[in-house]
Amino acid sequence: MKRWIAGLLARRMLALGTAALGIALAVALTATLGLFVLDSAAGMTARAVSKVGPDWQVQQQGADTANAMAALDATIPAHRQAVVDFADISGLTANVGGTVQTTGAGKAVGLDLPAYAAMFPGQIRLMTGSLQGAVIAQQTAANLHAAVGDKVAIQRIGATPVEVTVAGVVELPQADQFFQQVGGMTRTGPSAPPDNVVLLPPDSFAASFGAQLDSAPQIAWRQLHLAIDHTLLPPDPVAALTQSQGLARHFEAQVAGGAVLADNLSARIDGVRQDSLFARVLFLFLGLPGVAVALLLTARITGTGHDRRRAELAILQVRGMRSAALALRMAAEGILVAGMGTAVGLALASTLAKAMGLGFGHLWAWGLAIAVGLGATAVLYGLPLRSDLARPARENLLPAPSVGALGQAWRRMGLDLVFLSIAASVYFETTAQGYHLVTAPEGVPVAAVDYKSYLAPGMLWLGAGLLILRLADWGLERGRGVVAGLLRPVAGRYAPLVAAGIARDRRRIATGILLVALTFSFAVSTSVFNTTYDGQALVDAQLTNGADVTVTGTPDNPAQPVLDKVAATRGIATAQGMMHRYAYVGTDLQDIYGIDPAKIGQVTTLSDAYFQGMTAKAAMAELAAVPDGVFVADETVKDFQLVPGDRINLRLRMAGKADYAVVPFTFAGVVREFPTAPTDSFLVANATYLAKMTGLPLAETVLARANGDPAVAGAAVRAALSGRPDLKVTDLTETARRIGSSLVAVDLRGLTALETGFAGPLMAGALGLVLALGHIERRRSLAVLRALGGGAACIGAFLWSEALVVLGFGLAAGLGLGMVLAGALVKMITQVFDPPPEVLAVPWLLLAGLGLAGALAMVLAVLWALRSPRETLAFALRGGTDG
Amino acid sequence: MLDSMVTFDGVTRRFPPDVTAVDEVTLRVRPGDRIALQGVSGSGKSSLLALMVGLDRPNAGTIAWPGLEKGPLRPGQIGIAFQSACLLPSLNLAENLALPWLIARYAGDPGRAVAEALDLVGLGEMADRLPSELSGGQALRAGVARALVTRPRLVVADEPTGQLDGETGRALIGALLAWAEANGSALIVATHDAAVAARMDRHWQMSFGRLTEVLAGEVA
Ligand SMILES: Nc1ncnc2c1ncn2[C@@H]1O[C@H](COP(=O)(O)OP(=O)(O)OP(=O)(O)O)[C@@H](O)[C@H]1O
Ligand SMILES: [Mg+2]
Repeated sequence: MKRWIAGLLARRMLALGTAALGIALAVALTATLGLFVLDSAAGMTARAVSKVGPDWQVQQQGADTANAMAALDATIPAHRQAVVDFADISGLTANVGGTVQTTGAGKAVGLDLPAYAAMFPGQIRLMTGSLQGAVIAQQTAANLHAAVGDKVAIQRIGATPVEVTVAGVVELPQADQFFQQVGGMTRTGPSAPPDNVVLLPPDSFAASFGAQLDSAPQIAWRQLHLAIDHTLLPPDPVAALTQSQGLARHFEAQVAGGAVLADNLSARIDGVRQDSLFARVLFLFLGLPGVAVALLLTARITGTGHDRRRAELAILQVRGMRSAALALRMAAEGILVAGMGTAVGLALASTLAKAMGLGFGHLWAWGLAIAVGLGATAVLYGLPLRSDLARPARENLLPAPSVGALGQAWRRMGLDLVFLSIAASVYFETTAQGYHLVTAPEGVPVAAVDYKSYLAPGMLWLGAGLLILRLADWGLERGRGVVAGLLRPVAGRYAPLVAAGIARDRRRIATGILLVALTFSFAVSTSVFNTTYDGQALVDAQLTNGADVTVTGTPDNPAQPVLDKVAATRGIATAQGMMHRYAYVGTDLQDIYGIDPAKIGQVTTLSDAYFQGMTAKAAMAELAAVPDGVFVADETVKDFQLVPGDRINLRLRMAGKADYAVVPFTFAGVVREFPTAPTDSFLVANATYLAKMTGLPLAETVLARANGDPAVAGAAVRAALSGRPDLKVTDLTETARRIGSSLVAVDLRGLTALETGFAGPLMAGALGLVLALGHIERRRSLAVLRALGGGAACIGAFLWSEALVVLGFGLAAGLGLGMVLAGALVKMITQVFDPPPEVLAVPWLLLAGLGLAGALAMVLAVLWALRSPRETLAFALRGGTDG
Repeated sequence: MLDSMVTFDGVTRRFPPDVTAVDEVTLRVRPGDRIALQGVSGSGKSSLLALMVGLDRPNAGTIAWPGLEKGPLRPGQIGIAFQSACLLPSLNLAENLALPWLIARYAGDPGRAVAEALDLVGLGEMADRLPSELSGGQALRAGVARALVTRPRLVVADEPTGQLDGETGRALIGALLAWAEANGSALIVATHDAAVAARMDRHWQMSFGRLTEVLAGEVA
């Protein structure tokens, strides 16, 4: 047995080695993709909870603080907390510049603001002034026309007003969460946070609202905001959610009705849980075909050695070896390949994982990879061996029984078309309105992927594969003349013969085309999907951020004065001002943007989807042509029954006046989205017209286009404006990270690199293998040609022609299939896109590179066959048959 | 010497580890020769023919083709019919036979030459068949026909009648001789069949790689 194995290794090194390499690729691909997905899922949890702010908002019921505190300490030993008091107020009043401004109802909040800001970074953003003292929200400041140092009266409910001096203006980026209603009625969607907010130091709040806090729980209440140690959570979002919900339930049981809880932590994890499922979907949709291709290539290799193994088996059978020993000896080859392939694959995967900085601790990924390696070799070697062992020696000496009849049955049954129609029907169901591929019902720990949807890409892959076989088969046969014409440049006078040969060998060649097509489609579908997704994340981020780098001021503190400075900063190509103010449409206060329609395109990208019924270009032309034109939201059009050309009166703030005044506009069209604009109703008009009518010429915002990395340009602008902390500088990269679904944060560029890293060798391997094995199987024919006197021109005509047919048809079919797959995937998981992409983004350069890798492998394979050794001539002349 | 087509001078061909397939052979082929090459299996016939047509090179001695033009020998000047048919399995008979014509860069369409060659060996009706659709004997005859398509000055056939019944074999040899006559070509046929050998003018006998010429009147 030892000698047998040593012999195997010595004689069959190449065959065993290539088979093991195929297995290794499949194993490594499975492991690295698995690690990548699991690791990014863990990253998702970490990222999501890092920005959560207060993990819990615990609201006391009744006055028993001690009870709630004890319950908290018992539930979560490791936590920090801040006391936050709330009181409803009927409004705020300011007397500024001789006029009195009064707001509607709002909220007073009592908390140690500096401590809170330190405990929950990112929750309180100081715009002007300081956090020490009474602080008002930005929108409130705008409503009151109040600034630092002004006096504001708080209209208490059922009590006399109290007056405070504004120490600072802040923004509350997560006001929705901060002011959410805790307990009581179940929430039905996020309730709008109050516009009018004053934040007071604890003692000042106690002085004004202490009595209400004690006696009027419907007007004033106390919350504890908790920061929990996040290292307690498991990395996987699904497990993390179970854990955090368990903690919350435990607390609620302990406190026994003494307090209610808003579990922000679980809500955040809940949100990314869906993304982690999407990551899993992508792993299957995009990774599985790669693994399948690697295994198909391996099958092609092991299939070639099958007749030899059967002959060896027959000899041992004739010698009368007992069946158990026989089975063991014959299985040796498969066991060797399984062992070597799996080991090399795991080593490769760990090298890659290390290089990419992935965590190693995901046993699932390793286990799956090992299962793939061992399972695949068991199928590829074990199943044929089982049936060979059952046959008598003389049958094993004959060429392998043709799978022809069974293997061709699918053609008559039209299985390709059946698969494709199943794929189509599932696809149309999954892309129908309102369908969700992944459902993660809020608050429920079960989250699910609709596994039926896997049928669509799966069946598409199978069906298209069979269809490619059918079409290649049909095309090489029927299109013989065309093929001959196409091959004339390489085959010259041999072209008709070569085309005839290819037509007769079409089954074998079609299989080669299929292998190349599937390999290439793997590369195409992943890279197109990833590029599209990446691009869309950028579009999304640009829509939110406005441009590569954005400097945001306020109506009182516009950014325009720094425009030149920004434009001159290194890394900035050009900068433009954009007004961002507020206008009343009837009683509705909306954001209004003042732009220069001729130049806005220099700094930001306007998508056609932003406008209704016209392209972005047409919309800008319309605005340029109509100085008083205004684009309004669809909702506004319906509310006011507007038709193009209608006059529409807006009320805007005027220079030197505290009040809003009417300005006439002409309705120019409907805008759906606009850079930096909110998701609800807003307006877009000409900046020059706004400036002329209001007497306020300065743009509040500056948009800049970077000529390189937006993050670098953003940092440079931030440095240049370090003397202006009142202006906010944001860049595209940071915004993408902040707003993107956490799936965007699963750096898809890493995934692309990984997959194309595998696609390259697979591509080269597929072509090299298909052709080299083809040459080996036909080496007798090549020897005959040589013996007849055929030189490089003659033999090359046959070799180059076949290689080019396999490469050309394979690449074309692969490109087509890959695009269809990528398109279907984008449509199917459109749930994660906002807005969905208009077209697929194709990384042509990358694909051309992969095509080139294939071409290179083809050239090498042909050159190898052309320099076939002299001894093969003996084949032609001595004994044996053709074939 | 001027009218020699091929000459061997002390030609030896050894194969590892210790087979001497052709052993110090000296010979001469003249235009118009009809040579039978005989000898037991393994005596070196095929090895000798491979050297003669330029498919193999000797370990010692020299081979020259003074009667042939400089440039490629195969398939324009020497036609070979191999011991096994050696047809390309993915080409039909007509296409297989067209190959030498194309390789020799002959002008025009090979169709007529191919049809004539097939007719000569009695396969005129089978031009469209694939090799896998032929019997062993038919395939061998196709291999012989392929050697004639380019009208070479020397035709070498390695056991062309090996798998044929007596009558078909006789017909094939007759056709070959007639063709060589009409074409002015020399013909060398390796054979185990005394009846075939009897129709040739010269008789070469091989034994353990050594070649002796059996002159007329001596008994083989
Ligand atoms: N390529 C080779 N490598 C090693 N030995 C070879 C090779 N070719 C031929 N031989 C040996 O040379 C000797 C002569 O072989 P050859 O094929 O010339 O015999 P032959 O006379 O044609 O026999 P047959 O009548 O059976 O065709 C044999 O012993 C054979 O084994
Ligand atoms: Mg022989």
